[in-house]
Amino acid sequence: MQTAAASTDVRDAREAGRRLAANITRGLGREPQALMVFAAPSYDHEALLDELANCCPEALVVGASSAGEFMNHQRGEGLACALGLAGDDARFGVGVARDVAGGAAEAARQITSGFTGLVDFAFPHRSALVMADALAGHADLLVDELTLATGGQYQFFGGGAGDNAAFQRTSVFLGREVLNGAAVALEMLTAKPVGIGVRHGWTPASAPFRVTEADGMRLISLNGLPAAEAFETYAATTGQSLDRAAPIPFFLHNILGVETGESHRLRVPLAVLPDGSILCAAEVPEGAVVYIMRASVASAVEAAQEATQAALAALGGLKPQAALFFDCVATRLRMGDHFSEEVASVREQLAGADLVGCNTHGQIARAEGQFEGFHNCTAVVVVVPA
Amino acid sequence: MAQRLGALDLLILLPDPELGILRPAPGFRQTLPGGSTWTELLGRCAGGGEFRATIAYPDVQRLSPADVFITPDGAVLMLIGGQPRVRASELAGAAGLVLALLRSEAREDAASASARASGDVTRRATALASSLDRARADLAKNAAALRDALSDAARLNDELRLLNETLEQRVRNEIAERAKAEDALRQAQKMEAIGRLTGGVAHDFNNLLSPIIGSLDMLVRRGVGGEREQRLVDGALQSAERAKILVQRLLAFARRQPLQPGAVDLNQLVRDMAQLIASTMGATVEVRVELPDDLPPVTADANQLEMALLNLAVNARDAMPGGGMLKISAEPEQVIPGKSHRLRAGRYVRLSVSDTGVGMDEATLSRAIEPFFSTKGVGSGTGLGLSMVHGLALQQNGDLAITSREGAGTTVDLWLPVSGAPAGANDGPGNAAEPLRGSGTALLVDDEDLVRMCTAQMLMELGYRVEEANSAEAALRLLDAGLCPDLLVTDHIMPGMSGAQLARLLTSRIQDLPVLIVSGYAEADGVPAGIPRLCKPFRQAELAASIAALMPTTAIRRRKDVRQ
Repeated sequence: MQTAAASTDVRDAREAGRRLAANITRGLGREPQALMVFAAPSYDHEALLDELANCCPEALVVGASSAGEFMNHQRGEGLACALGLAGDDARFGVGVARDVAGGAAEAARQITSGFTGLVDFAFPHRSALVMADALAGHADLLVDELTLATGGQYQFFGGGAGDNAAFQRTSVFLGREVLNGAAVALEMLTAKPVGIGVRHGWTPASAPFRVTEADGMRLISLNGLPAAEAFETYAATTGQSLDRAAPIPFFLHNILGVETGESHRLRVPLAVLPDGSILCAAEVPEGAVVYIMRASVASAVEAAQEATQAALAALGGLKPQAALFFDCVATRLRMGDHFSEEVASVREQLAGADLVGCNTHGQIARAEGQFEGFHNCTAVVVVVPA
Repeated sequence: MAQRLGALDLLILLPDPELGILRPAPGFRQTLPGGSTWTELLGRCAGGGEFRATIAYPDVQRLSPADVFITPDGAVLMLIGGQPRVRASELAGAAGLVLALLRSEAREDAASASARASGDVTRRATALASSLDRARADLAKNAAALRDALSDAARLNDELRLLNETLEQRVRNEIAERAKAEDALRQAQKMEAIGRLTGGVAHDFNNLLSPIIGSLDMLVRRGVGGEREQRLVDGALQSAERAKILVQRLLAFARRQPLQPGAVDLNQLVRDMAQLIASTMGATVEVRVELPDDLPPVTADANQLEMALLNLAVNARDAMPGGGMLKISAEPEQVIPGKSHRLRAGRYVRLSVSDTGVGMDEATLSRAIEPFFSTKGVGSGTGLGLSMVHGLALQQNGDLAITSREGAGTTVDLWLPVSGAPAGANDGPGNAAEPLRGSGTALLVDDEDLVRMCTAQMLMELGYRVEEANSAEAALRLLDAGLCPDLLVTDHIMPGMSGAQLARLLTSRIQDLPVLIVSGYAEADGVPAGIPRLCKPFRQAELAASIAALMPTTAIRRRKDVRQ
């Protein structure tokens, strides 16, 4: 498969679209068959997509608004980047669910109804980029339902569309359309395997807590006391402080890990409510044992490296042609400038292959042996072989 | 219950069965107001015993007194607020069963919580199982296709194995077939070569015999010498005649004997010969003739066919020294293209001569039609019988096949083409006319001096003035010099121009010029069908008869219009 990557910081959306299209087409030597596009929320997405479609009328375009973008050595917030794909050894398709909130199962059915790989077995490897409107919810269930709808035959990767952690308006792209409350997918049927690696660098840092009361994404009490007190106690013992009115700085570094037996499912706390309960980014089951988790720059970099190694290993010795990298906006915010180290740790292992990615609101990675489809604060690396 | 005891509330805390931390017992308020009072209280609970404390209750804004008792197994009984009429410690004894039940429920809740916590894992495991089921179904479907493919492959393998196993045998068979075909080809080539050689020898012999027979014939006719000399001449002439017959057989084998083919009624021919054959067979051999009445006429030289039939009968007799049966049968046969090895497609009559004699082994059978090959003793046969019949069959566009097995007799099948003409019609020259005394000039052309000299003598005795030429070119020169012959007698095969070519030239210059071609061969090449031929060697009477046969249609007359 041929790939070409491009990014731009040009603020004018149409000009940005033209530049992306021109660079991709030049890199491929032909018009792309498929385009993955990630653009900062500051862009006029409709104009950007319209120009891309004008320049590459035959390309299938799928993407999302993002919360930080990077392409090779270029990284920042407010960029637009794209990865173009073409080749006779691959076939592409698109799927869309326009109302994810209406039900994850139905959304998955709508998305996969556009997949040809379920009936066409000409190519042995099936995967799909899935970008969901994070604010529509159900992303966790959606990935599970996608796995079910495809009979476990697809790998999924991608994430929740972002808006730089403003949580105001996130969008997904399909062709010239900018969709909200939707999920889109780019189906990739390939002759060669697509490698996916998933790792997070978080480890339990507190004593275990019993979730004595919870209501959906609201964590009410731990060990019988208001949940915020557990965090405050932990903060006090670790020399940190939790400002209930502005908890994000603390929560960027201290998230919840739900014990699932072999690992911890990460839950990002978002706010402390007046009753001392904590609003999380996803459901926390009542009665569960949870920990407050910690990560460092070093552990995040190491996790990204391990994710890259896992993705490369999945290629079975094939040389990487290009890679996609998704990580949580919270990670970028937590690591600050050190996030560049994480991106670099991925890039350095790719032996010159193009690297395109963005920060997302939640990450999607469903690959062989990886059944936790929706992740938080997790590095997801996808490698396309030459 | 708390109100009956005079308290605001009753609270029981139990150690978490997994984590060990204190937490509200099932059924009680699960989220306490929290704050420092509770942190302090929970800390004091670790010391056991009983104590009183003030805690935030029912919310963080209000404080309430609490009477706290810790049971020996770590359960905490709290009477909060109000004016309790009993101490918390006094409840411990009565609450033993309740505490046991609560502990049990707590353990169950913890287990349930773990299950809920791992609910996603279970759900994903279920999803995975579902996916695997689908994959398994796909696999089963593909496996069925694979089984079919494997079955086909196995069948093809079996066929291939069988082919390989039989390959050697098939190669052996093929080689044997090829060897057989090559043998047949070699045999055919050998026979062709022998035939060509034999024909050449016979031709030369005929040329040698011609003056011998002609001269001896003349001596006999002239009565030269005394009685003794005449007996010697008669003996020499008989020997020469036998030599002539021998040469004719050789020519027959070589397929170069002069034939006079016609439509022959086989029924009639065999019936006419039946008596002769029966007497030839002798008393110990039964002769059976089985011929259908509606046999179509065949194209053959009747005389040669009679001789062939007699030859076969004699061979059969010799193969049945102790007696047996000779059967002569015939039946029509339609030859389909490709069904016969040598015959052309068409209608034939197969004439079969079978005996119940000793038969032949394979070696003998393979050489049976070779000339001069004979199993009879020296002097009992010429070895030319079957060769002659074989040559005759081929010369008539038919075929011959011999089937024989040692001890089981022999069958000779002779295929003769069905004639389009009714039986009795003769395609050859007419029967010899009465001897005729000739007159006029006969132009005699032959490159063999002795033959020409002898023939010239015969013609002169018949009354012709003879002009001799040793070649066609010499003959033409005679015509150019003014000769206008009344009869042309010419050899056919000569150096330079052939007799037939000469005849064509002369008849174009002299209308109605009678022409007789004398030849030792039967080749029809270049000889117009209407030109009568006389085979060498011949006697004067035969020459006279041939010339006489020319006369009814081409009366000798003086040509006035000789073209120069």
